[in-house]
Amino acid sequence: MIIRGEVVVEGEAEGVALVSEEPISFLGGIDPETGEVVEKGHQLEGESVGDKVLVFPHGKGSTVGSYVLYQLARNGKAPVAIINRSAEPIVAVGAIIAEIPMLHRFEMDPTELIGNGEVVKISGENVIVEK
Amino acid sequence: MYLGEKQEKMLSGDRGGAVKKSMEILVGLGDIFGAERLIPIGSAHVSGISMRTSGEAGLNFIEEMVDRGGRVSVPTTINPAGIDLENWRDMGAPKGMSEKQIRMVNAYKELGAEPTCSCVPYLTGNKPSFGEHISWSESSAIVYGNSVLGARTNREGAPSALASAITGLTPEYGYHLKENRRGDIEVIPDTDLFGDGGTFPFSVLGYWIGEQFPESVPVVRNVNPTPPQHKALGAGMAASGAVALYHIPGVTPEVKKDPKVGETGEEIFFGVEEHEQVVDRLDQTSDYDLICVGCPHASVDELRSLSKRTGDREIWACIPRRLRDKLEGTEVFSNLRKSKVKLVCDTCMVVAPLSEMGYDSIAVNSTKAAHYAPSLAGVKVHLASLEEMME
Repeated sequence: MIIRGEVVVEGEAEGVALVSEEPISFLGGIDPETGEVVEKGHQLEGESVGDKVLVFPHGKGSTVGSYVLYQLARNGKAPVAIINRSAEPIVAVGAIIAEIPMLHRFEMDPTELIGNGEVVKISGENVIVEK
Repeated sequence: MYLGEKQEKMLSGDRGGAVKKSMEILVGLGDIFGAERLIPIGSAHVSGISMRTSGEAGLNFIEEMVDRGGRVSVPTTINPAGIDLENWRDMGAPKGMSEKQIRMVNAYKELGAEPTCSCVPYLTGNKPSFGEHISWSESSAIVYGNSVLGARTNREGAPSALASAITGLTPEYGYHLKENRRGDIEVIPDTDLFGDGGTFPFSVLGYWIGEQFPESVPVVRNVNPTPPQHKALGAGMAASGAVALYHIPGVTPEVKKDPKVGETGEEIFFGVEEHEQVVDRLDQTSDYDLICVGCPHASVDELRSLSKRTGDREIWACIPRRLRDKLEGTEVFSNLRKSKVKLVCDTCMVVAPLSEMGYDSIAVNSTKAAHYAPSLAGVKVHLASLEEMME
């Protein structure tokens, strides 16, 4: 399956999808040292975002969350790519400064189209999902 | 988005790594929000200074911007740090965090920012004029700049405000455009609530508006706030909601110039019941170790009312260091000293490590402080008016 979105940060990437239907707060929600989701009660609590294609609707919380993405990248614990339903400034700026390929605004909701654990490849504005 | 020749060069790295990274942030945001171009700004104000909020991640990013040759190109002020930069040892702030905090402020100095360490840039020399485009983060300053001064800024985050400081540019969308600055909901407060001249009822009203209409441009009727009351009103709105701008017919500059900006057609009432609901929800304890005022940072007028206080509970007034320096040697200053009011500079009760400094609970007269202090500073909060706390 190939779905097409708009590019926020250009790049090629491939990885296993980690999908959340809930928004993610990077400040306080993800440990910048380990990449683990630490927000209590979050759907992805206990999972690691490192080396995953992270699929979620959009970010939430403090704008300082952008720095957390940057720190994850420095620690080698960042997602290899980010796929959002609709980008907002926290995650978009974080992906830009951390140089993580990022896409958003697909014809259909990517959090429904992409299944957890599926292998996803990002190329330009295309997302190729191996079903 | 259209970029001029000079801007294309900035984006491609001709003017160094910091400018390139900054342009990538601004162009990325502009594309997401449908901006057609980048416009010049008059000033920047950058948040995310405290190690309590930005942490190692923020420090590393800012130091890397310094290493990449970053330098601000417009007047730039910065938000409060996590410690009083001169008195942190006496105040019991943790050493490791304090040393990193000093590194953070020094990195901003190297970028050419003014180390104001205050959330009220408009009281420390960064006061934009009517209609001026600016790029500010710090939600309470954004509302004040847009509403009371009539300047134009979006709700920038720390990295985008820094990117604007370095390039002198911001993408033109949202509150930079006149058509997005019209009011869309009218709030009619019960004016009996505002009898005593203090900031507290305005802080509560603001918080309620932000909760009820988080994405709105509210129009508030029947009030004529003093500058400290404006500050409290806007800070409340921006703490509970994403409000960036309000109008008060006959009072704030934009609606004075064009009354149509304040016509919305939808009215909603704010009375004693709404006021009490907000206070009950935020007030966690009646017991407290410390009184903290100055969220946002206090002005001279607010300090004057404190200088007459009696009683000997520990009390902090959080203010910009520049204000303290200006006050030294004046009558207000000596009265504050007599009244045992501690002037805490460069930081505040929200971003200082209060729990690590041995405090369990604080009393505040700011809904913004009550909203953030439990999670950020790690303390319980008693919310009340200044008069009530002094009793």
